[in-house]
Amino acid sequence: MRVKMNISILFLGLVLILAACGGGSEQSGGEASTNYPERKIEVLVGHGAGGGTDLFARAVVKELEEILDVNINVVNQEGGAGVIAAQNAFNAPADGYTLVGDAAFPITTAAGTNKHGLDDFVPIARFQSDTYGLWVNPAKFDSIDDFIQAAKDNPGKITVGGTGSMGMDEITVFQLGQVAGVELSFVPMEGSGEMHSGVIGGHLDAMVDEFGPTKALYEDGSIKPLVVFAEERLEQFPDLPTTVEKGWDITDGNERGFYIKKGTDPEIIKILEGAMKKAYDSEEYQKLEEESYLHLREGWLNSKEFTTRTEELIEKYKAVMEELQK
Amino acid sequence: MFDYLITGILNIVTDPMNITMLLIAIVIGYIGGAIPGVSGTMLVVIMLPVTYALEPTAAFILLTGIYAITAFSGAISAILLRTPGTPEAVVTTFDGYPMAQQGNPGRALGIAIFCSVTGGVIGTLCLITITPALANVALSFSSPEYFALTVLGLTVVASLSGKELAKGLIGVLFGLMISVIGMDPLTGTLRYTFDATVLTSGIDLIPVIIGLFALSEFLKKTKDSHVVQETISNVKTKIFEIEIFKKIKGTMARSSIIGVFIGILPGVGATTASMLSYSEAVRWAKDEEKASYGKGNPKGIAASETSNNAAAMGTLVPLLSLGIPGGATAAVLLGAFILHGMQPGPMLFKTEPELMYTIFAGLLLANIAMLVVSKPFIKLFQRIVNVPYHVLGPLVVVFCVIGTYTVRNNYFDILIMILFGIIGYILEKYKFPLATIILGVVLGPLTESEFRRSIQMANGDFSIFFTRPISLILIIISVLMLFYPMINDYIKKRKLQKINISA
Amino acid sequence: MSNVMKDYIFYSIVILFALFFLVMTPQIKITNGTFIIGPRHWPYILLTLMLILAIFGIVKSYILAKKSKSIESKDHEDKIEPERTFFKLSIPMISLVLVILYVLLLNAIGFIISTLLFLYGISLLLGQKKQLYSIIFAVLTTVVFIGLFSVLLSIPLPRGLGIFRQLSLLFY
Repeated sequence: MRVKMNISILFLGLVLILAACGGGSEQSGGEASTNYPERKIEVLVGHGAGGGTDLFARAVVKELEEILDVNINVVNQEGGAGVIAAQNAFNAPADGYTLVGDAAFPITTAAGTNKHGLDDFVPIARFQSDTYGLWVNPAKFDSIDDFIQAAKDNPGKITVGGTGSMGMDEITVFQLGQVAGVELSFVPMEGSGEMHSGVIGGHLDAMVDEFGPTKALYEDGSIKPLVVFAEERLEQFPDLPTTVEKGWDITDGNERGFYIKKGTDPEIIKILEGAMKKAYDSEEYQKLEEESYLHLREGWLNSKEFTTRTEELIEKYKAVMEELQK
Repeated sequence: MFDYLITGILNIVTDPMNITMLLIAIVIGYIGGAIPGVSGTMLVVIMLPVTYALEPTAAFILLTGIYAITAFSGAISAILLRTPGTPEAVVTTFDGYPMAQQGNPGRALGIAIFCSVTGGVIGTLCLITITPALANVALSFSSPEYFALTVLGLTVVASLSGKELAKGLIGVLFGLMISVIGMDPLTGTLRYTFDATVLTSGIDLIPVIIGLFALSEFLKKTKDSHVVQETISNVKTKIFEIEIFKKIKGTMARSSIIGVFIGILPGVGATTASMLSYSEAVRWAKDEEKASYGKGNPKGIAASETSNNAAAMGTLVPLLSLGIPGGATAAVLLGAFILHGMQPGPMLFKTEPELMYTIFAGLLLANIAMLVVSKPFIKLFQRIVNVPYHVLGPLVVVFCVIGTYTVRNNYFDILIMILFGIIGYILEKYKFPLATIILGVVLGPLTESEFRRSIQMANGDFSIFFTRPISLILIIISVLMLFYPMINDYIKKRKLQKINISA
Repeated sequence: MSNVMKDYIFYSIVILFALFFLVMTPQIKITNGTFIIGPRHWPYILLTLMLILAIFGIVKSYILAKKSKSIESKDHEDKIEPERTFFKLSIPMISLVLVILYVLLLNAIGFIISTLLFLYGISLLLGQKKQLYSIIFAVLTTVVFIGLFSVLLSIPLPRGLGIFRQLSLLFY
């Protein structure tokens, strides 16, 4: 037993020495940030594989890898609408090798579930500003006026589906109800699959969703949009009225972008910002945007613009949430 | 339709690229799925960028092939190590592991693979032939029906808990309670998170299961590790044994129907499908047979494996016919279609019929190839049972840790796994029916949120469950099932009395 | 410990569990009043049922115990089970402690070193006779796991803090 103990201590010691050596050599190299990036970067995504935010992050990462000439891993840390990923990124050192790809940052921050807001994170760049539509089964409603009339006649009885709770979907439905002066019943669905079949199957009266995920369903005519949440009419849908036309000032959608822990060398942020701009402008990324109907609105915002935008949104959603939670 | 299918098969067989992709899919699927911590979804996500460079046909043969094979291969470690390799294989541990421990790892694997292939082939055939009809069935289901379905599933607790119904019910309630913790999916409210950010994402199914089954088993086994193990030498791998097939064919038939049916419902996955068909297998068993479930009954393996493979194929129905992804992997596949410039949906059958039927043919071939190549794999894997426990045991622990961690890349989940390992160790000593907890955890999230969602859809009208025909039928069946044992007892007593009187 | 005793303990724990969560339930904030069935109802139903079942279980085992005592108090079923020696019983306990230590260390010193140490220690505990084999086994397994998960599948296993983080970065 004694001998065993001794050898284990020896073993432990060896390993620790090894660790110390390894640590030393790495630290000396990590001081110059101009060499960034020297090694693999991790992008934490707070949503499961296959979702909108995940696909977005992976598409961008594919371009970034080429531009920065470095391996980039997408790590899915599902849970709490991105809160877990933000928490983990906050726990990692601010060395520029851990990024967060998120869509709900302003909302989770406004709701208070994300404890690390702009005091702890710096927005690097926004890639997408997605556009919502209000979708129905064509057999049920003809136009947005029809829909609003029906909602007026049956206050609180028209069900509108959305994914998740206390997210952009719910806020959008709530705001629509407010500005149109009607009472809508929001039904939070587990995922878009259940929601889509709910609308087609007639279990839900309507739903809010973006134009990308609904493309196939729209093209074969099983659902149709009543209104688009945007300032100007869409080129692809010239007959589709906008919310602004109707006098409703709700045009927000999910804004997908990247964030990094505060305290990261500004130089690194600049490098990342530049690389991301290149990725955004790349032919392949633009093609993807077009294929999944993400190009309806200009998505790009640089770090400074995106920070201002995020600030605004947090303030705005705080107010909305207060009313919503009354 | 069938000429398309034949063209599809020819497309694969005659093109070396396509055959290569199918073979790669088999190897990756077999080995990847067998490793705890590597799920089918993960493999498909990892392979996705590889397919950018490929022709669409080859790309989808690779992706859907991996998807089809991992629906089975998770069973390998479930049977041998009690650690499900993929979430779908959770229920296979119930009977597969005991059978392997009784000296029949080859037979357990054989049953699993035979049933998986059968389930997969039936599922694929349904996909090919009656997709539009099935898609319509899926559309007629909504929250009230989902809820009624979970109620039907939960009523099986009576059969799962053996003689001690009170304990079984407590187990289910405990399982349901576990799934309450975290962010409420409907209102976004935090429940029992005690201000800890890590708890907002709730407690996942996988850490609970790996803890309850795999880690607790490790702790139990450490006790006898010093005893020299008797090596199981005469392991014969028989994939098809006629006596066993006779026993399980009814279960297989029932489980494939349940599997396909549950699979087509968006949001209800293969894990739920295998849990429900296991429940039904127990329910339909004769009274004297009921006790043998969970102790190595071949029907238990058959129920789980047939239905999870059938469900995996069923999940593709809404994806291909409606463009609605029914689960996580289906969502990744949807992304793959988009990346290759296609939109799944009814239109795709018209614009790209050859591709669609080549994909179908690929699924069919992948399922059949799985059977053809299984022998060497099984021979290799079943040796694991003979590895000394001072080697196998530590590996199991590391697999438990990694298998838990990789689900959400969350350290906290490992702590949950350890906690449930301790709970499982104690409860198993106490002879508590652990399967009831799993029943609760698997069905928990669906049960609560679908119930509340139904009420929300009906604007507070509780009669919604009884006014919709499908939901009403399901509820009536559940009630009958709940009281069936009592009625059955009563009838038996009457019969006995009659016999006594006549005697 | 007799089976009746075990039942008492089990049901008491269930009661404590249910009571604790029942007390916690009112603290769930109701943030969205428009919901017809709020976030508290479901846990209330579950916990109340749990409480009732547990009380029922205690009463039942009490009655059963009384009955069985009056009928056959002599041969206790439990005695048939052989009493385990202290040392043998402690191996699962030591293993558990090792596993817990391993997992706690995982976060602090990272996957590589903690796994090396754990595999080395536990394989000795579980009956590996030769030191050298244990070390080879530990190193080999760790290398395979890192290679498979972190390098091949790009899953960053826990890295640990400080210098341990730096160390892990050398490998993945």
